[in-house]
Amino acid sequence: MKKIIVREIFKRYPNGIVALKNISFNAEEGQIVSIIGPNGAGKTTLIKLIAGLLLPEAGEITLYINSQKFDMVRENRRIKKMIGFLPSTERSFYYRLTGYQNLEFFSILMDIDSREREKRIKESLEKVGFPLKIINKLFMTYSKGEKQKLGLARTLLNNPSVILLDEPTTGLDPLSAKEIRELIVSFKKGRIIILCSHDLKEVEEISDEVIILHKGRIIQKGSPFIIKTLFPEYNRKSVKISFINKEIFEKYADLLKRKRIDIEILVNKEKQEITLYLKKESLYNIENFFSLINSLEGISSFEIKEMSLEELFVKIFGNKNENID
Amino acid sequence: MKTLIKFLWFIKRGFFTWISYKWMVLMNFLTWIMQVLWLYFLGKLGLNAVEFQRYNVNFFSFIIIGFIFESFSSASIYGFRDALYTEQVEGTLESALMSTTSLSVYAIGQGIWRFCKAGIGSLVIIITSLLLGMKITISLGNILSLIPFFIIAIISLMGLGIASSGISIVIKQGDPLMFAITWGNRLVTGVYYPVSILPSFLQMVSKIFPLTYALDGLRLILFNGYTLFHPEVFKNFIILFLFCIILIPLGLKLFEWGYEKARKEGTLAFF
Repeated sequence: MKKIIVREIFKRYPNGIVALKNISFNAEEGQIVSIIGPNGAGKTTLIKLIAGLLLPEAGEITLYINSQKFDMVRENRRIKKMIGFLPSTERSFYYRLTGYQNLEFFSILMDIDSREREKRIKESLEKVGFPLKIINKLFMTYSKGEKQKLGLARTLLNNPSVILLDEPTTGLDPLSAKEIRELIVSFKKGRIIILCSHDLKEVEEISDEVIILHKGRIIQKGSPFIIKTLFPEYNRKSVKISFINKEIFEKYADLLKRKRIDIEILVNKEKQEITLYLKKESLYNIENFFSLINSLEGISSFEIKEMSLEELFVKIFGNKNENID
Repeated sequence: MKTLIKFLWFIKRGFFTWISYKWMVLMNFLTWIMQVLWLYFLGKLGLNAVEFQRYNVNFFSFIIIGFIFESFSSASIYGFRDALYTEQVEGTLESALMSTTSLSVYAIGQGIWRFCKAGIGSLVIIITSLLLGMKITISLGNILSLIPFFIIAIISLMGLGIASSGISIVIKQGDPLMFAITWGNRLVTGVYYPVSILPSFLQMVSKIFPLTYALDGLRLILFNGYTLFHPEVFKNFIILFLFCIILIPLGLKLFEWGYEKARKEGTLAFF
């Protein structure tokens, strides 16, 4: 049985900013533990502390593998062979080397035996479904999705017990992101996976445990269900409609009221705008709504908006940007 | 053996990256040749009339050796730091440091390609210089002496470079150690003129730089045809050996200090 226990982690940077305060959680074998929070919440700091790339001022991070116990802060070199780390930047490879040369170089740094090296590289590439026909092309020629797949292949090279992923799907198109998410789920058997994310949907979809981080503190942790509880609005889209004149605005406002559409409507008389809040999955409503719009005239513009993680956090926790005391 | 393979891979990585910039390779070769031509014509200006008595050579021959070995010295000072800088900027440093490779192997590996590149440059410079009339004494004895002397000289310079890159991890730009080594080397170690022309206090300062002993020894071997067992060459060899014993562990300690401090401060990936 593998387990990571993070206890009372405190991290302050030399400029006085407290990045993390009293962080405690557990992650177990077969679990995907997601750390979610807006920019500056401390996600990357936390994952780098677990990876041993940063030192905490206080607290302990312990890895248990069966009956063995490893101090992840102090026994940093010893635990490196048990960790696979994917940094948030796609520039964690040598651009002027081929994909294969990159993996070969990192496998040498990882002290993977020369007799096993080729086999491990091949296996890792197969596991992530990397297109082998481009493996001997320069890394800089790869698409974002291919770069990220190669990154995942590298994390698997040393067959790690713990995989740490820093925003693995950021910047990817929806299809590639989906593919990466499916791969991450496929890695979890026999391993502990800890990932940082900015995407509530992703976290809800693949996590077994969720840690919500805000301004360096854990504000809630538990099953992915807490996302819906804490952010009921994340699952909604808003459609803001503007009109060419007051008469038409009033006509539509009245019409929408009378039609009794099962959606939340906000009428702003001052700006002559109507905002409708639609559930993402309620396509039926959206289609009905668009056909309604198409059938009528006098609309000057409409804008569909999704609430960002930052907006959700601001809405729930306020706009203050002070440091943690 | 494992460490040696890692070093070979660091060289391979550097080489492949270098040759992927075709124009840069061409410009490097042209620069090496131009540098020789520049010094050759400078010598023709009248400087060649000056006899460098200790080594019985003219200005052109004297300065070529100084010039070549200064490129190794630069590789040692800047090579580690620049390689580290590139890794920090490109984002590969953290991934590499997540591996099981020890810090000392990583630190040395970082700069090792720069030495190889300086070696390629030296070959081009020597061949061009010989074609232009540089005089060196070649015998089996001094060639066999040149190899160990050259190796010990390079290693003695590496310690300073590693130490400097450790400091650079922490203070990023404006490393005072790098400044002191660069200008100390140029000013007092005998790269461009003999140490004997310096005022006595600067001659004293020159004794704390390994490059002083490296240049003197190399010139004695190449120009005077001395072997390693000649008292003057041997003295330089022993001093360089002592520099290695002191500077390499010190350099690695400073690198480790820099790494741990950056880990604590969270600035490992910044430059």
